[in-house]
Amino acid sequence: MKLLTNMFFLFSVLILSGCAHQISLNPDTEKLQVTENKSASVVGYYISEDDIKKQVKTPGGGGDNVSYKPYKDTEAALYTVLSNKFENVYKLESLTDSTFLKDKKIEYVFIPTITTQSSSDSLFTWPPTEFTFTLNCKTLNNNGDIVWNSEVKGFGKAEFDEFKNNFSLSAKRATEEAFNKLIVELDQSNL
Amino acid sequence: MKYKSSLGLIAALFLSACTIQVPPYSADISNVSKLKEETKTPISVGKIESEKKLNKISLRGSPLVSSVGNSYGEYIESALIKELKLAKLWSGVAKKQVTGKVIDQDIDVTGFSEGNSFIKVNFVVSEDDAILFEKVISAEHNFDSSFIGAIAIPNGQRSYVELVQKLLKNLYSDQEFITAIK
Repeated sequence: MKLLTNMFFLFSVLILSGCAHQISLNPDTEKLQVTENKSASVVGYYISEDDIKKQVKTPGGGGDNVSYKPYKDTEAALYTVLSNKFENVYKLESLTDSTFLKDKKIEYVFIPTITTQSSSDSLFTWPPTEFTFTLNCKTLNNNGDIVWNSEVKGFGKAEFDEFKNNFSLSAKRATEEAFNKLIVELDQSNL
Repeated sequence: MKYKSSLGLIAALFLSACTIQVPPYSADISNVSKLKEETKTPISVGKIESEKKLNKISLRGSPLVSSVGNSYGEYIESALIKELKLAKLWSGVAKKQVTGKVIDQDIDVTGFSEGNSFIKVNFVVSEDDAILFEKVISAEHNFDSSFIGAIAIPNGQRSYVELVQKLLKNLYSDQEFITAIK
C-alpha cells in the first residue's frame, strides 16, 4: 500500500508539475460577524469589469500554481459586510454616473483593492497550506473626496488532513478573517 | 510510456473512491441586485425536491454530492435563501413561497479541454392555495477541463456553483416569475 501511495505521489509530481489548479476564495458569509453599530446611510461599491474578470495565479505546492478570481470570489462577502452595516447597498457599474448616485441617495462609495499571496511547504500536494489576503477599502463621499481608507489582512493556514475535502480552505480562512476585520474597522469608523 | 500508464491507473484507483462535495453556494450580486430592483414583497422558500438518482453526480467515477443536507434540492433551496436574504426579501413566514423539483442535471468532465454541465428545475410560486407561476427553468455552463483528473474533477466540482448562479439568473429574468413574486 505504501509503495502504491509513493508511486501515486511520484505520478503527481511528474505529471502535474506546473499546472494551475482552480480554487475559490469566497468565505462562508454565514460565518461573518454581525455589525454592532448600524448606519442609516445608503452606500455603493465599485469593482471594475476588468477586476471582476481578473484571474490571478499564485504558488501552491509541488511546483504547481493555484488560480482564482479574487474580486469575483469575494464580491458576495463585501456586499454582505456592507449590507449588514448600512441601510442599503448598491453595486455601481460606473463611478461617473452621478444621476444613479443621486437617485439612489448614495452617500459613500467603497472601492476595494485586493492583493494575495500563497505558499505551500508540501512537495506532493498542490493546495496552498498558507494564504494571505489583503483588502484595501478606499471610501469616497459624494464630492469624490476620500473620507475613509482602511486596510485589513487575513491569514489562513490549512494542513493536508483538513484541506483534503476543501482545496480552497486556507484561502477561505484568510478571506473570512479579513472581512471580519473589515466589520470591526467599519464599526469603529464614523461612516 | 508503460510506466506512465501504470501510474495513471494508480491515480484513477486513488481518485475514484473519493466522494466529494459541491462547494458552498456563493451568492451572485447581479442576481441580488435584480431581485432588489423588481420587488419589495417578502418571499419564503419551501421544499425543492430532487430524486435520489439525481443526488449523486459522477465526475470520472468520483461521486459528487450536495454540501447542504442530503440532496441537491436542499442546495438550491439554500442558494435561493442566500440571495433573497441579501436582497432583504426573505421571510420564513411570507405567504408567497417558492418551491420546486429538480427535473434533471449532470456535469460532464470526460472532455480533455472543456467540461459542461446542465440543470433543469421546475419552479413553482404559490400563495395560499393558488399557483401563481410554474415553469421549468434551465441553465448550462461550460468550463475548462483537462485530461488530468486532478484538474478536471475539481473544476467540475466548482462548476456546480456557477451552474446554480446561472439557473437563478434565468429564473429572475423570467418576466412571469417576476410578476408572480411582486
